[in-house]
Amino acid sequence: MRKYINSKLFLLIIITVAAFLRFYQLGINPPGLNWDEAAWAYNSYSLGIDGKDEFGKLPVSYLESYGDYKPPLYAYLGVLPIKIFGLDAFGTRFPSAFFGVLTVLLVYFLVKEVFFKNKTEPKIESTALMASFFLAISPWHIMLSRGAFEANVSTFFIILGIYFFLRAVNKNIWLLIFSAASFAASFYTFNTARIFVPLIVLFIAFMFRKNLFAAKKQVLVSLLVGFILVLPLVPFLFSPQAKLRYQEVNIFSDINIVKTTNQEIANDHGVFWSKVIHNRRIAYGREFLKHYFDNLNPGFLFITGDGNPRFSTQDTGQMYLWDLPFLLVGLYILFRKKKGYYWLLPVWLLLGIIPAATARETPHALRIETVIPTLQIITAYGFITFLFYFKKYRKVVKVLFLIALFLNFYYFYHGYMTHYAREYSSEWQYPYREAVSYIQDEKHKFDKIVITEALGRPYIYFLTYGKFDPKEFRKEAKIEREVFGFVHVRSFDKYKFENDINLNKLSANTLYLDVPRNLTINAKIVKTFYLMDGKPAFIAYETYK
Amino acid sequence: MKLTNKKIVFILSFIVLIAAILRLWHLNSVPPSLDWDEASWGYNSYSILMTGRDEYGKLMPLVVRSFNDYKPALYAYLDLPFIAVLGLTDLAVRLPNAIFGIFTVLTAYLLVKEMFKRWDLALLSAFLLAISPWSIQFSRFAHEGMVGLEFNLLMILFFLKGLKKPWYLSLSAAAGAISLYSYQNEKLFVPLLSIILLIIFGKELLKIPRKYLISAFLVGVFLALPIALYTVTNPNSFTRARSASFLNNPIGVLNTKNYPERNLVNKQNKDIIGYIFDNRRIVYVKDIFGNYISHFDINYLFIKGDMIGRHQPPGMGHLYLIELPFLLLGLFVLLSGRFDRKIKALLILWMLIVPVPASLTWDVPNAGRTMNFLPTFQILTALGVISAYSYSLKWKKYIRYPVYGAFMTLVLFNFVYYLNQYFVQYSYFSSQAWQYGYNQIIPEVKSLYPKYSKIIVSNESPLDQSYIFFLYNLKYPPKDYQKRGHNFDKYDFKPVTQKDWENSDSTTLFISSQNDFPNDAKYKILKKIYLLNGTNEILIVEGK
Repeated sequence: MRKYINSKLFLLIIITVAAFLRFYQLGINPPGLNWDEAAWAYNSYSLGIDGKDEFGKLPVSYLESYGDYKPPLYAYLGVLPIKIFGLDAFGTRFPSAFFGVLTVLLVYFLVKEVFFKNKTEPKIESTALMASFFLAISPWHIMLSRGAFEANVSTFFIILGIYFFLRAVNKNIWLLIFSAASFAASFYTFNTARIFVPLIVLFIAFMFRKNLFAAKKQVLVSLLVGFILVLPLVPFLFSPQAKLRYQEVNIFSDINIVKTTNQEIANDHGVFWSKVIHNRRIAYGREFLKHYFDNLNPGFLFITGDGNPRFSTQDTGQMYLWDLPFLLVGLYILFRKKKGYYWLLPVWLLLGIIPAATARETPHALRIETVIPTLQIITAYGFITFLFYFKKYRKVVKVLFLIALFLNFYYFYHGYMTHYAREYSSEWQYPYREAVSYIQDEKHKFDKIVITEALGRPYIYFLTYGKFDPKEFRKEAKIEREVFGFVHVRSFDKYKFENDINLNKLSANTLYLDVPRNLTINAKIVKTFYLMDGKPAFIAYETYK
Repeated sequence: MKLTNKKIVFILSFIVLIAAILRLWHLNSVPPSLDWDEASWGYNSYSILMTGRDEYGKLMPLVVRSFNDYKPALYAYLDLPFIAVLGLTDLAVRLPNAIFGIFTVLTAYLLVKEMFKRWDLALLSAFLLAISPWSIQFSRFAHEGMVGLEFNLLMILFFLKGLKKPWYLSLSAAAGAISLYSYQNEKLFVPLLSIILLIIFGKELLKIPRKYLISAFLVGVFLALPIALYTVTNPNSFTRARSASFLNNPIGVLNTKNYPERNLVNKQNKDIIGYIFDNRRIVYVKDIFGNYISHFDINYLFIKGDMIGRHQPPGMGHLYLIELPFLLLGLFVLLSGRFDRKIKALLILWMLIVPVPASLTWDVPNAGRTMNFLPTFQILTALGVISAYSYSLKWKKYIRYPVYGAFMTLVLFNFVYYLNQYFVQYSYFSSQAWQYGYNQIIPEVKSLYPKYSKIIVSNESPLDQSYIFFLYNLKYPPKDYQKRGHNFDKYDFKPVTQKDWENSDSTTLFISSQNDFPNDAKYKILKKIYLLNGTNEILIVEGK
C-alpha cells in the first residue's frame, strides 16, 4: 500500500514538472508567433466567433489557411483557450502544451499496458515512472509542446489509440472503440498520422489477430466507428490538392536521380544488367533509405538536434547525450528478456520514421515526433535494468546518475530559458508584434499602409495581433488563389501587401513597412523594428511631404 | 558439419584468391590516377632508393615530411623493392598496399580462429573481408592505414597466441611497435589497444613466467623508442595532428560564435552556472563526442560513405547494405551468446576505441582513420549470418529454400552493384577526387618543353601540391631536386597572378586552373585538360 501511494506521488511530481516546463513563460518564449501559429490563432478566434474559419468556411476535412490545407482539429482545440486567455500566444499554444502534459501522464499508463503481464514487478513500475519522467524533461518534447505544433497533439492521439488497443486486448475488448476514435482524431490533426496510423494498426492487429478473431462483434463495431469518423476526410485525401502538397516535399520528384542512373547505364554501354542494377526505382529506394536513416543520425539525436531552431535549441540533441548508453542497454534487454509486448516499441520506432523518409528535408524532428515515447520508454527500461543490476549501492548509483542527468537537463534548460529567445527570435517572426501595434496606433494618419511580403505572410499578423474582426475581413479582403491552391491576401482595411515594394513609385500619405534597405532620397525612416539580438528586421518609412 | 583440415585450407586459399583478384585486377588504372599522397609516397620512396634520402634530403627518415604532414615513413621503405624492380610506376606505388590488403584477409582468418576457435566463423569473416568494399578501397591505393591495420591484427593475434606460447608475446610487441611507424593514427590506437589487452587479459599474463613478459616489454620499447623519441622531441611531428584537429573545425568555431554575447547576458544575470555552461570547452567536448558517434551513423556506414571522394565509389557506403540486419543480429548474438567473456570484451572494446583517434580530428566520419574497424564488422556480420542460418534450419524446406534464394539474389545484386560502381562508375564520377587532371598534364608538357624557357605551374586549387606530380611523372633525378628545391629546372610552382601574366612573353608557359584565365579569347590556349566526366579544369596557356 505504501508503495502504491509512493508511486502516485511520484507521478504527481512528474506531471507537475512536465506542466511547469511546458507552461512557464509559454506566452513569451518562444518569443513570437510563427506564421503557422498565427494562422492557428486567428482561425481558432474566428471559429470561436461564428463557427467559420478566416475565409468564412466551416473546416471539416481541411483548413485552407495559406493553401497548405492544414488538418483542422488544432483550430477547434484552440477555440476555448483563446476565448479564455485572449487572442495571443499563450492561448494559441495552450492545446499543444496541455496535450503535451497529458502525453507525459499517458506514457506512464502505456508502459504498464506494454508490460501488462509483469506490471506488478517493481522493475516495470519504475520503468513506467522513469519513462514518464524522461518524457517530461525531454528537450524534444518540451520544444514541440511549447509551440502550437499540431504534431504534438497528434502524437497524443496516436499514443492514446495504441494505449486503448493494448488495454482492450489486456482488459476489455470494447475499448477498441476508443482506440478507433483516437486514431481517427489523429487523422484530423497531423498529416504524418495518415501514413503512420494505418501501418501501426495493421501491424498490431496482425500480432493480436487471435484476440481480434475471438471478438468479431467488437472489432466490427470499432472498425465501423473508425470508418465513419474518417469518412468526411476521404474525398479530400484523394483530391489533387492533397497530392500536390505531398509532391512538393517528396523525394520521388527529384530529377537528378534519373540523370545519374541514365549516365551510369551509358557508362556501362547500355547492357541489360546495368539497366537492372541502375534502375531508377532502385535509386529512389536508396534515396528513401538515405532519408530514413538520416533520422537515426547520431549527431541529430544526441549532439546538435534538428537544424531547424524551432524544433531544437541547437545546444543539445533531440535526446540527451546521457540517454545514449541506456537507450542501447534498453534495446538489448528488450530483445534479451522479451517481456510483454516488447516487439511493439522497436516496430513503432521503425514505422514512425517512414512518413518523414519520403520528404526531402531530413532529419525532421517534427515529422517523426510519433517515435518519442518509444525512445523514452526504451531508455527508461535500460536505465532501470542497469540500476537493478546493483544490489548494494543502488541508491548511491541512482542518485549519481540522476545528478548527471540533471546537469544535462539544466544545460538545455539554461540555453532555452536564457538565450534561446534572443538568438532565434527571427525564427518566431518576433518583430511583427511590435510592428503591428505601432502601425495600429499610426494608421489613422495615413490613407494606405503598404507591407512587404519578404518576411512570410504579413496579413495574418495584422489579423491576429490586430484582433481584426473576421466578418469584416471576409467582407473587405482581396484574395487571390493560385492554380496550385496557394492563397494570397492582397489587401484588407488600409493594408496592402506587396511582394516587392518599388522605391521609385512611393506615394504620399502612405506608410511603408519593409525589410531594411537603402531608401531613395524622397523617403524617410520613421521607425525601425529590431530582433531580440538587436539586428534590424523591419523599417517603417514614408515619403517627405 | 565437420571439415577436414585439407578442405579448410582449400577454401581459405580460394578466399585469398578472391581477395587477390579484387585487389590486383586493374590496380594501375582503377582508381583512375595517383592522388597527391600516392605520388608523394612514390617519389619519396624513389628518392630514398636512389640517394638514401627523402625529397627534403633527410637521410633514411623515420618520418617523411611530404606536404608538411610528416607521414610515418614505413610505406616508403616497403615500396623500395617494388620500385627497384618495376620502376617508378603507378603499379609499383600501389602494390605494397594491395599485398597488405591480401595479407589482412589471411590474418583475419587466423585471428578469428584464435578468438572463437571456430573455422566456420573464421572462414566467413575472412570471406566477408575479402569482398569488403572498405578493405578493397583502401587496399587499392597507397594509403598507409592498411599497413598499420595488418600489424595491429598481428599484434592481437600474437598476443592471444602468446597467452599459451609465451614467446609469441615478443612478436606481438614487435608488431605493435612496427605499426607506429606506419600511420599517424596508430600512435594513439596502439597504446589504447595495449591497454585494453592488458586489462582484459591481465590475470592470464601474471601467470606467465616473468622472463617472457620482460623480453616482450623490452622488444616493444626498443622498437618503439626511435619513433617515440622523434615524436616527443620534434615539434613538427604534431603539425599534422594540429592541422587536422577538431579545434580547427569550422563548425565547432561556428557553434561558439555567439558565446561572447551569451556571457554578457550571463554577467547581467549574475548567472554563474551559465558561465560554466556557455564555455567553448564544453562545445569542444560535445564536438569530440559528436565526432565519435558519427562513426556509427548508418548512412555513413551503409549508404553514402564519408565526405572524401577517395574513400568510396558513388552510391556506396563502406559496408554492404545487405549486411546491416546480420550485423545487428551478430552483435546481439555476440552479447547474449555463450562465448568466452574475455573475447566478447576484446571485440567490443576494440570497436569502441577505433574512432577515438578520428574523433580528435575534424573531417569526420572518416573511413581511412577508422580502418581499424576491419574486420570487426565482418566478424559480427559472419556471426549474424551463421546464427540466422542455424535458426532457419527449423523452417520447412519449402519456406527455407525460397528464402535462401531471395537472400542470395540480394547478395549478388549488392555485390554486382558494388563492382560496377567501383570498377566502372567510380572513374567517371570521381576522377577529380583522384586528381586525374594533374597526371594528364605531364605528357603534354613534355612535348612542349623544348619551346619554352619558363614554365609556371599553379599550386592553388585544383592544382595544390602540383610539384609532386611533376617530380613523380618526370622521374626527376632526386639528387638534383634535393639541391634545388621547389623551383627546379624550368618549372616554377606558385599561384598564378596577373603580374606573372603581364611579365610573361611567348617563351613562358602557364599551367593553371581555368579560373585564372577567365576570358578564353584573350589567351592562346595550347591544351585543355579534361576530367573523365568531360568537365574541363586545367588549361595550358602560352604567355602573351
